[in-house]
Amino acid sequence: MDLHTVIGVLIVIVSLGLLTFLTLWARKSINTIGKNGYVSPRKRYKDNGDE
Amino acid sequence: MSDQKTLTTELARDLSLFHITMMGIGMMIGAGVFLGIGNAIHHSGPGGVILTFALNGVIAVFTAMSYAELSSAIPRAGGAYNFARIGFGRQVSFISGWIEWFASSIAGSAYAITFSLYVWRFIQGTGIMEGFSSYVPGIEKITAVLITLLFVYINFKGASEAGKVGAFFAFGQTLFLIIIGIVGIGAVLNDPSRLQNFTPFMPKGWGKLFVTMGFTYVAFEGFEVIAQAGDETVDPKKNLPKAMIYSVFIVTVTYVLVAFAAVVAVKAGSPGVDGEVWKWIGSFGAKGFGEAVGRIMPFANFLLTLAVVFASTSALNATIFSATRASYALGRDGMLPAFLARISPTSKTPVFALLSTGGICIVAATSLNAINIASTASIMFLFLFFLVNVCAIRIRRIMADELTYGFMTPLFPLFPVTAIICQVIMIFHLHEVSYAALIIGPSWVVLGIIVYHLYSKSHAKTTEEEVVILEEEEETESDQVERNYNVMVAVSNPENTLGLVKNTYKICEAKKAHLDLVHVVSVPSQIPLRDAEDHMLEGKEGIVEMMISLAFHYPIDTSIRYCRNIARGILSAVKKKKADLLIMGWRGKTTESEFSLGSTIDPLIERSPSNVVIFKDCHNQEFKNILVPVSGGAHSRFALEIATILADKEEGRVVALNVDTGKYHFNVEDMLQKNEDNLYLPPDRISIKFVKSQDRLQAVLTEAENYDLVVLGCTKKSMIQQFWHTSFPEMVARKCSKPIAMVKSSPGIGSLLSRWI
Repeated sequence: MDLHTVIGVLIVIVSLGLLTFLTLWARKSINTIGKNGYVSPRKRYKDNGDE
Repeated sequence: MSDQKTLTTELARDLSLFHITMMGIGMMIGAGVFLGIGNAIHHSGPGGVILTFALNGVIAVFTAMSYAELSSAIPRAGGAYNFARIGFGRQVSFISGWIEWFASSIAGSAYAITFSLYVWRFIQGTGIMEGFSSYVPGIEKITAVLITLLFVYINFKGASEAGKVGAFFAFGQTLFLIIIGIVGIGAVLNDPSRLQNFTPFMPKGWGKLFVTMGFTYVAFEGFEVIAQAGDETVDPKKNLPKAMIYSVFIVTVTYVLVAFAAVVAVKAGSPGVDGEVWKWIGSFGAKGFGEAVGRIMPFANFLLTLAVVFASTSALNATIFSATRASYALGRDGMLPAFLARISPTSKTPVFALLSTGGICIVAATSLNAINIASTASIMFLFLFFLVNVCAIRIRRIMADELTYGFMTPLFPLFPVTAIICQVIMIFHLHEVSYAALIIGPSWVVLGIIVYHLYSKSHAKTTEEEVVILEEEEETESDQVERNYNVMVAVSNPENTLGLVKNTYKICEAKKAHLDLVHVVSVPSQIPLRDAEDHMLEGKEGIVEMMISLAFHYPIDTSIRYCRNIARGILSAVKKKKADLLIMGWRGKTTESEFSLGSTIDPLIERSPSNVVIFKDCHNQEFKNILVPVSGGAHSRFALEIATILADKEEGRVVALNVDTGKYHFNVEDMLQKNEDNLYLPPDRISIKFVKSQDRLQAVLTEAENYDLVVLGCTKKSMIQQFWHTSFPEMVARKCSKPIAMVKSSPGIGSLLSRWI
């Protein structure tokens, strides 16, 4: 197996691995973000009227 | 006088995560992989084709995350056109819509060409019409034009492509491609020498990678259509981002598997294969994938052609209506001439937007070859996704305070910036395969800028602040009234509404019920649901009449519900409003052979979580004598309950009819006694009649002649039995000349499971 093949296979593995990781991460993030959706810290600050 | 809310309109949310994910997958698997594999192998070698799809998948998921973030924050926006409007204003939004229209149209021509190429490849392979194509030059282009015209017509008629059938086909074509991938892996395990096909891995150098990534990028366009389904999706803040990312992941893995299988499918030195395998596959260009796969599995050519036909036609249908919606939106907002937003009064579809889209598809299909079409479609989507990534950065910077997100891209702005850089590089490298794409793409954008300054700028309509109107109104705790029993009356034909009034009165009075009146209006796919109210005027008149009739006596909520499919619209209303009883009318006949009672009634009887009462020919008359054929189940008990409610209070009588066929016996008196608390007539006005007969149907029909109304429960037969035989209640409903009320008691879990078996 030459160097091009090794690098190519590694890139494919890393790409698919990254894709899988991002998909799973996104799923977890969406599920935990909550039904009410993420509110940015600045909005929460404004809404609560805290100084 | 009751406290009554004003008439509201709402959009039926009936698309689940599965449906919209399959929608995205179905759009993506259309042409790119079938046209692209052979050409990618030719330009970058066996290793290059695998890397092409893997890396394109990564860049696509970066863009999908931008779409996901924006769609979760603004679920009703409906895509790049409105994201750009919110982020940058009118000019950029016009350019986005302009690009989206052209990109989808060109992609449609790519799907038409793919269909044509693979169908003629199959026909020529069978030898049926040997030499035909050489006698009819351009037969492939002619076929592409014809298939485009067919789907323009289908879209004109308003046929829906979404829903369960579309999801089924998308699932099937994905599964087929995965099977090809698995067969490829199996071939290698069986004969590891096939891995030699990957030597040399990158014969034309690494520089070609961006070239092949560029023209195959069209294989990853489709997930953005999911954003357009925001109005119809259940829990869009969560499901839209999930669907976009899941669909890109599934498609990328599928493409990598399929590309691998294509390379290992051909054994070096096998008959007809001269020289290196990758060169042989690449020599076929767009048909290379078909030639390779044809050598790896039995009936491959037929199965592959079938898969391509399904994939390309469903993607063609979807891109035509997606492009039509884009040009319709531009016309509606005054950015382009208003005739593009004109709706046909008969089909309720935007006919001129459709024709202009079809025109672009046909011109592209006839004037460009396959690689130029694929490259042009790819470059347009690269422009579009570039814009969306920029919008994601811009909106996060200026509006994050105002929005609630269901998903936020991690390590922001690393991924959108990376996607932007890669997209620019891919655009630049496209000149190596297609000068036409590099001329047509930028020319269309420049033309758009000119059109904007000469026309759109002065004609565009002013819109309200879009973040405010795009937020969904949620019912607050203080809006909800204490409800003991909720009755929902669903009508889709205003002419039937008044016929239900009197019987609904009686039921609501007996149950002390709150009444929801829902008028369900079906909207063709070509019109965004949120625009439906501007075009579906006849919905309001019927429901207003019924509202006036009932409103003086009962607490009543009224709404018009816009949906793609009437049955699904009603089901989602039942679930949303937690209805205990659904009342509907039935005209008594159906034109569709696969449905017993009609395409609306059947799914409701099958899937409604509430009790159901369906009236046929019950036009507000008094019922003094009511017949209830009973067989002992939950539906029979509910039928008796409804019959005692509907019977005339002063003189009404209910007769429970038990037809003894000798096969099945149950104790009717026992059933009446146990059900006493649910009956609304005194016991002396409820009687039992026994009839001995082998023919239960005829016995009931004969008895029914002496009564004013027949109330019968829906079948208890299993699904399998129902598949082969028309059920008893349905036969009675069709043949009986008297008014009928068919009832169904809401199922428990055990009942649902046992029904399947």
